Amino acid sequence: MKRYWKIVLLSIITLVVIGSFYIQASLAAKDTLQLELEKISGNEDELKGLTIHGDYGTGNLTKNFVHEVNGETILLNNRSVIEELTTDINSHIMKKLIEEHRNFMRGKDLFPDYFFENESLVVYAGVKRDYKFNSIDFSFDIDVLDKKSNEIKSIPLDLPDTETYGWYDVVDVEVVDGQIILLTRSSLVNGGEEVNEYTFDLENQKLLSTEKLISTIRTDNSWTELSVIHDSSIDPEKYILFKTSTLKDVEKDGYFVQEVTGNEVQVYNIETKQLKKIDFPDELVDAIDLSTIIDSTLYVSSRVDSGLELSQYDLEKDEWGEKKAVDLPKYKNGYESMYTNLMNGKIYTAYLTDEGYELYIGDLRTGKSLYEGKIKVSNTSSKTDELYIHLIE
Amino acid sequence: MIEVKNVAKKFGRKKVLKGVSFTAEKGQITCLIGINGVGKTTLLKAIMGLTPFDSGEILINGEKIHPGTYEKITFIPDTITMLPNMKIREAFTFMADFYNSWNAERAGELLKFFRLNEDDRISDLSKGNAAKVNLILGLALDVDYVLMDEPFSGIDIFSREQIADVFTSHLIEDRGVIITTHEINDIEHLIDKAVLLDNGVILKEFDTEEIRENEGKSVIDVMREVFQA
Amino acid sequence: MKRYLKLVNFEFNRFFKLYLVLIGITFVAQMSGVIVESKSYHNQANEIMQEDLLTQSEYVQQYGPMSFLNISESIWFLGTIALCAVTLIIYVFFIWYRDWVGKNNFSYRLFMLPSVRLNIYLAKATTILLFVLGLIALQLLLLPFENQVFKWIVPEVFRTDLSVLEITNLYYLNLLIPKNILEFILFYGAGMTAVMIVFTAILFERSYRLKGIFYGIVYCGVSILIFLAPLLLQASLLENYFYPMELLFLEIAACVLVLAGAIWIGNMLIKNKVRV
Repeated sequence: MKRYWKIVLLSIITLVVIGSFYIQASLAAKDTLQLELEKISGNEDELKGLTIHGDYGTGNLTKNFVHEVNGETILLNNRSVIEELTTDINSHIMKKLIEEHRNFMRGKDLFPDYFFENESLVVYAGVKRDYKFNSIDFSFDIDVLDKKSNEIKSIPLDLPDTETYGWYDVVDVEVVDGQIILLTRSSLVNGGEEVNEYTFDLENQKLLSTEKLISTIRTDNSWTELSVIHDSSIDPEKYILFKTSTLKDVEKDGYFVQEVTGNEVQVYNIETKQLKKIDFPDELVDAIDLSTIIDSTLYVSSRVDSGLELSQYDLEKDEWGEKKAVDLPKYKNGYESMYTNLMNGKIYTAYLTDEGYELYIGDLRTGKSLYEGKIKVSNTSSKTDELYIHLIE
Repeated sequence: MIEVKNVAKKFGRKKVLKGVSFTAEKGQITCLIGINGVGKTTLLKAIMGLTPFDSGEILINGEKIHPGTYEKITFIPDTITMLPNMKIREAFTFMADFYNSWNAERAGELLKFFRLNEDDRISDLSKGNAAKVNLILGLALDVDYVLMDEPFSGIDIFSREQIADVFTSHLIEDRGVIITTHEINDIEHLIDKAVLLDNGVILKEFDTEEIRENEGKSVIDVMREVFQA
Repeated sequence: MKRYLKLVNFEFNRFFKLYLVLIGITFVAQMSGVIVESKSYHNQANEIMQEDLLTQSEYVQQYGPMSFLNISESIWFLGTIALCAVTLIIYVFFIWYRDWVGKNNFSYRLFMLPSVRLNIYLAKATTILLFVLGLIALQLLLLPFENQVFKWIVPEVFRTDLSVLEITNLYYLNLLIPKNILEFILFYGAGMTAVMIVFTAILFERSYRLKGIFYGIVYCGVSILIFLAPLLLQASLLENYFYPMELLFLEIAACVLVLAGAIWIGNMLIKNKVRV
């Protein structure tokens, strides 16, 4: 035994050191940053299923976290390499779909825009891209799952004139009266963009029609930017918004700057196939990204000094309604200090006050407050800290 | 008994052994004779499982070689088989560690016989002394067969005499020995059986005593006849 | 088993002196690194504060505090880790070739030991693993010390303190010291598989010499291909058919397969084909 002391000693030290390191690591993993919500007013039930994404900075380190309300705060930086590769932080919607239809969801691009779900169907419409030497071959990859029979039908379709497109993507999938409707957005090799509508017959998987809804062009010094605005949900939607802004290069003090020369907002009714212009006030145009449609009312949230302001527009009657104010008296005005999201008929906003972050949840239709609370960080030893919230879902 | 049956081996295109067969008995000294490069060393390595051969069969006490065989047969190559930075004592400890058949008493006896110091480092030994250590490493094992590759080549005359003395001692007695050499002079009177090897084939295999008594020829006489024919 | 352990001990002792040197260099270089980097930050801070008439907190605001990261990303750390890694990688080859090269033919002795020859193969692999893990343990032992020395030299106002766990979580150290034990086992398991693939390739060369180099390269290529097969198939034919967790399990299976192949082929070669 005496002759083996070196190897025995080294083995024991190695085992003890590495072992105790990992015991310590597993204990410490349970004891990290934890987000907590402290109610000020309202109903805590509103927090159910909510997830807050954000960054937490201490000194020169920033920790990325995901917090499931009433649950765990997961530090994304703390995940191991394999955890990073295997736990996708996909949206709730995608997670739920995978849990319910594991086989159907295999090999699909997991963006909510590509999916549609109602009580009897799940439809997936993605774009397959075959990269060629100097172009991309695009084709649709459409699968329909019958929830009752678990039967999967595929509709293969090659896109024509694929070489004229630089990019092709699906922005929305809907099913209306036994027809699958795809809205696609594409950019042309020669500049400009298009929005096309493809209508398929669900029963015999045939392409019925294609329709060009929007097309923009690019000239030498002016071009148009297109935004497609709709909820990233997989539930049936009736309306979709398009915003086109025309920009121009203008010389100012010897520099070229971009100037917006015109904005146009249109709404497309998927059921009636009607494209209508909306008379949008200039000051609301930039806020349109923060909008949602409930029934036939469009809600747009914009930031004002005292908090937020909600504008509503009736898409059937084509008229603006009265504005509602969401007063956030403690709101500290400043760039990036507020995050707002409109979803599920509610407005969620996390904003910075002198005492830290607060969360407000309000009802869009009534404009009433449903929940207000403080977002607190516990389990941190840091003296200087910064919280920044960038997504609530 | 060591049985070599029809063993063939080539390196690249060169056929080193072309179907070699012979046997070596326990209690006898068998000498493989041939000029350099005729495949003697390859043959010994093949017996020891240190080089694969292409066809044929080699049996030791009726069995193919396996790990346990190395307690029964040992090989003394013409280079030292221990780490150069080892002391002789450490080399002995290594042997005792791994071989059940290591006979420490005999190793000590041999060390005394060769007048070697067990604290000497192997890398510091003269060629003759290194050969002696090599010999001890093989002979101190209680094995049935000892294979020796050119134990006398490149060694001073006194060392040769000492080594030759070992062959007549009780250390060899009832073991089977296969020895290769290209110079028969030193050991002609010791060997029981000669196997003449040339160009990968066995030219003649004979009992030295028989030839001496029946035909009145020495091994060298036979070699002359065979190799010059 | 007994002879296997003896062989491990024997192989271990053959490299032990050099290993101690490696440990010594690592210790001295990393400690010097901590002292040099900390002092230079502190001196620079003092200089700038005097020139620009800044208070300590103003300096920290403008130039940022110092954390152990500044040290662990310096050449003192990267250099020693690279040195240890390169030395061990070279030794993966040398652990075999040292038995053949030069005048001394220790390979004769090794292959004439009355023990299954696979033990030699496994003992050499075990030795490499022990040395690797030993160095990892050394780094884990050194970090708290170094962290303390850093705290002694740099005053608190200038520091962002990190725990050893936080330090190991950062960048490249994260690859050497994964975050949980399971991943540690997977990482080093894959690493040992790579070592054994190289071992078997070396045995190809030792068995067939010049031709063996070619066989060895082909063998390595096939092994890598099998190992990557799930990933390659996933990216091409299967079009992301598998979920990440399933893919991980397939990868582990592929790795085990490659490892088993390396040991099996290695055993065949060392038993029947190797030449001294």
